[in-house]
Amino acid sequence: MAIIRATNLRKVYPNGTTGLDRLSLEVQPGELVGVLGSSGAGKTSFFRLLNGTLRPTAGELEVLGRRLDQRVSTAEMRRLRSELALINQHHNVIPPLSVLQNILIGRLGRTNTFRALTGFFNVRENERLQAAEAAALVGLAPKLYNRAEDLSGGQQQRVAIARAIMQGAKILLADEPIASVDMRNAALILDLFKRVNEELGVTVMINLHQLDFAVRYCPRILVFKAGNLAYDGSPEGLGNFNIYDEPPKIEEPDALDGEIVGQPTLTKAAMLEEAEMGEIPGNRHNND
Amino acid sequence: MKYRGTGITMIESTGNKRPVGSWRLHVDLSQVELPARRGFRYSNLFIIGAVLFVIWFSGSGSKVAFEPFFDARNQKQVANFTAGLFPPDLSPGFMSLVWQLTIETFQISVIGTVLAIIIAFPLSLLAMRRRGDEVSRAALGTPRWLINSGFYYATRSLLNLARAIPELIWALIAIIFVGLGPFAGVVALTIHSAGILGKLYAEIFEAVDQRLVETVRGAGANEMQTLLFARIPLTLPVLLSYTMFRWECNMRAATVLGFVAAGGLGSQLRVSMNTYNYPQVTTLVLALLILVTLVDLAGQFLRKRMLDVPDTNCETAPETIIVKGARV
Ligand SMILES: Nc1ncnc2c1ncn2[C@@H]1O[C@H](COP(=O)(O)OP(=O)(O)O)[C@@H](O)[C@H]1O
Ligand SMILES: [Mg+2]
Repeated sequence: MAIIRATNLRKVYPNGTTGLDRLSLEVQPGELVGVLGSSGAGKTSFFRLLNGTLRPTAGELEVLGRRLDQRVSTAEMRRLRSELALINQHHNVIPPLSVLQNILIGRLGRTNTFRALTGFFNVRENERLQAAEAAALVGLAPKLYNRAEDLSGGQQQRVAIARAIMQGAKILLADEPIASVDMRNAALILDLFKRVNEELGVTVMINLHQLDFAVRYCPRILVFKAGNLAYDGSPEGLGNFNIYDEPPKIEEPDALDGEIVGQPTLTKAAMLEEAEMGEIPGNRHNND
Repeated sequence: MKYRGTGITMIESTGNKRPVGSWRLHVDLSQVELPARRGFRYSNLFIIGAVLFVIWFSGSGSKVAFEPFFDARNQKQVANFTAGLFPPDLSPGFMSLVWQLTIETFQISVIGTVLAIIIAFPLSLLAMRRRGDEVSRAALGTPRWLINSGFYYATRSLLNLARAIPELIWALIAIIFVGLGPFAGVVALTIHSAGILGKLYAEIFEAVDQRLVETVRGAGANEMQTLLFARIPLTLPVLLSYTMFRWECNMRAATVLGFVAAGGLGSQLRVSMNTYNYPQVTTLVLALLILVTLVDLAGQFLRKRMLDVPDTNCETAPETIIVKGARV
């Protein structure tokens, strides 16, 4: 049974912008999915819908067997969120709180307010140990008592990963986790996602701009375009065409594992358009 | 709107290329669509005119004039008054009274402020507008949304009322209920300050970065936990400085309340003024000055402690920690 299922999912923002337009997809438990697509394609909108921060305008969304419509109860939402972690590009930590406290935030979905209050000032020993383990796993044990604002962007990402581990999430969504991180740290972070996926069986969706990383780490690739799915399949299927210059070779469907749902997203024209709009084209390593 | 090439370092549309600034980069603005500049809004003129009118209107209404300062009779009175202020009355009997009254003023202001915080905090949560899809009318359902909005407007109105009526009037009302004395002063300060702090807290909590709120909510936190782990830690220095400032205001207000016999330095200040005992007035004003300065210093100390915390336990944080017996 699918752990994430979207059917004709639509999200229209109050200002009239369409974030997602009749998106349909399924993700099975234990998958590691890479999500590609130019800026504004709807990747972030999709993740925010999955964690209930945004509510669908139309269509159906089912996560961990729960229907996520406009009217999910708060209690239901908390239960879902204690099993689903969302990591953003920025804004992952509360700056004045310590790394320990930031990791402990991952427990709040399973903690009542009173315990959260006392725990804020006096952390329980077993929770401190769990948080320390999570911090150690992401290489941040020495920083446990530092303020989160003193960490670098990459380290803050890792705090968010530690929080997801603390949370015991069954689904991990990472929205451009390596967009502002150097190559070495990017590999470190993606290795962590891969470990979490393989060793803990967590379903992981990573939204990336670097095609080479996506191909290296993700057995399944989704390409978003204009709020819809343009490609869903293996990285090999995607690797058959140069995302800048050539359209995908749809005349050789056998060579493709996946199915091309629309036009390729990352054409040269699209990349140039993005560059002109002040965005840095994501992938410069396509000629490797 | 097309750029027409008035810039000195820009490339003319003839294709005659020149470097831009000191960089050896070439730009042809004639090929670029520039967005239209926002024009001057004539409504601004109206607003400026209205502000000037209000200032002129207020000045004429309050009979602003300079002549009184140069009037010989007034000047003589000022001289007499000033001379009468010195030396201050430092006799032991009066000093011990001043000490008692200073302590009482201090106590009234502390309790008034603390009670105000206790009342303002929960009210501020009701008077706070939360943002995001999950608290929208569609997500909450119309009945719950209406109840929330009802609480919002009711609390805002309550806070407005508490704030609109000055402490002095509250004190006169409080005297009817609790009689003369310091407690009437406490009640007056509590109500007025709760109105001010409730609104300030609500607006401070509202202004917290929504993305950080969503990060904490997204981990499963409920609204109280979001307050505890995001809104409060993110705004603590501001909350503290506004509250300290309110305490300082309450100290001064507590003095004025004495004028209507609600205890503290003010009650004696009124007696001394009415009996033309200016040396006593000087002593009382000095006592107030010292009190306010001490509060200010205490506030500065607390704020400094809060803002310059050297990375929590940074020096004592171990390089490695022991996790269940194993070194990591
Ligand atoms: N809060 C918002 N309000 C209005 N429009 C938005 C908002 N967030 C995103 N959008 C719009 O929705 C579309 C999809 O954006 P997003 O999901 O952020 O794309 P991506 O993450 O793939 O770059 C874009 O056109 C964007 O401008
Ligand atoms: Mg995005």
